Amino acid sequence: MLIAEASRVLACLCAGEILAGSGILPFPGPVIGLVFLYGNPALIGEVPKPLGRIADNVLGVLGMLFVPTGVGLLAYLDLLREELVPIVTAIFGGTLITIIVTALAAKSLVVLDAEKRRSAEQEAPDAAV
Amino acid sequence: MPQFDVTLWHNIALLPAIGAGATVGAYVLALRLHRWSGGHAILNPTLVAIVIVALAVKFSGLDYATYAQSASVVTFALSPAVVLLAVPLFRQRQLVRASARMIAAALTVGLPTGVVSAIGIAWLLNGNRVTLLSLAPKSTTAGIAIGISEKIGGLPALTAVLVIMTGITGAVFGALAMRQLGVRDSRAVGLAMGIASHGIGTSRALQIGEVAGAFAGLGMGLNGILTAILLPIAATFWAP
Repeated sequence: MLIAEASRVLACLCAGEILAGSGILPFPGPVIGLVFLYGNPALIGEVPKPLGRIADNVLGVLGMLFVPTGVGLLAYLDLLREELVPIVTAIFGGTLITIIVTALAAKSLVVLDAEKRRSAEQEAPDAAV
Repeated sequence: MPQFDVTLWHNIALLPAIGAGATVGAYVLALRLHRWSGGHAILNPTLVAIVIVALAVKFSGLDYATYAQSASVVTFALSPAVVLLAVPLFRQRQLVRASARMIAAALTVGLPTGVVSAIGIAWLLNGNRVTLLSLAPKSTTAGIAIGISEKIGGLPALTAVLVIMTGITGAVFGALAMRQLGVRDSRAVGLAMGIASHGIGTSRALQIGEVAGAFAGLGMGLNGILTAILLPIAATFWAP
């Protein structure tokens, strides 16, 4: 049932927000909710179809949910104008540097793992002898 | 004909139907434009929708606070959306478990790079202290970044805007940059998008595929948690 799965998601979120808001756990409420949903007995084996449908639909428009916050730019135009060069350069440069460095770090492990697998495959026949 | 009543208009505009309706409508328009252009990266739907709504708010004589209040239901939906990231993560759980070392490497490198590169560049260009502190949590998702900014002495509302700018930069240029560098592994692409540009990067990664999307969501979540714990501690060493 669609509404039952929706309520499961909201229950996980509620529990997360309560644990975060009361200071019991030092993590953001929605992230705690994510862990609860992941560990939910409903997810053992397969994701229930209605839950999968909700997730695909909501995550399909994830970008929309940031629009109101982004429009907040209007409220900060003056401050942004004052610090335009450092802010824009830091955002643009910093984000690109972070993406590139992170991707290369992750990729180096892909390469490393592939090499290890290859050498393990090469060694295996010798070991058999 | 009745006279145009400014207070009445202001009160109507506070209704969620107006703010949320305008946001969803603008996003649908932005999606159409994105598809019509053949998926051009610069026509990122989030960016285009922000421009449309910002223009609408400006020319309708309203202020941002009115719009933010009437669109708050859209912003709220971000919280259950983060919870729902458990679903792609669960579907890809075997691959995630097998990639633990890659995830750890990406975070160890990506988290400090995200914070230090932004602060460093702004500092070199004489950005003031509040700007630097507001920039520090920019790679984490909006809700988390605002909390961190508050804690370390930044301007939370400015941080929110910087977070969106970061997400859009990553979503628009990230995939292109990685293609140029020959990074094709979906896991690496997703992790970099999620760690550097949070939910908007994750939204872009979900377009690339479910593996990239799941790893982006994971990168975003772990980066958010760790930054929320580590940045306030690091900030205590940087007294004014």
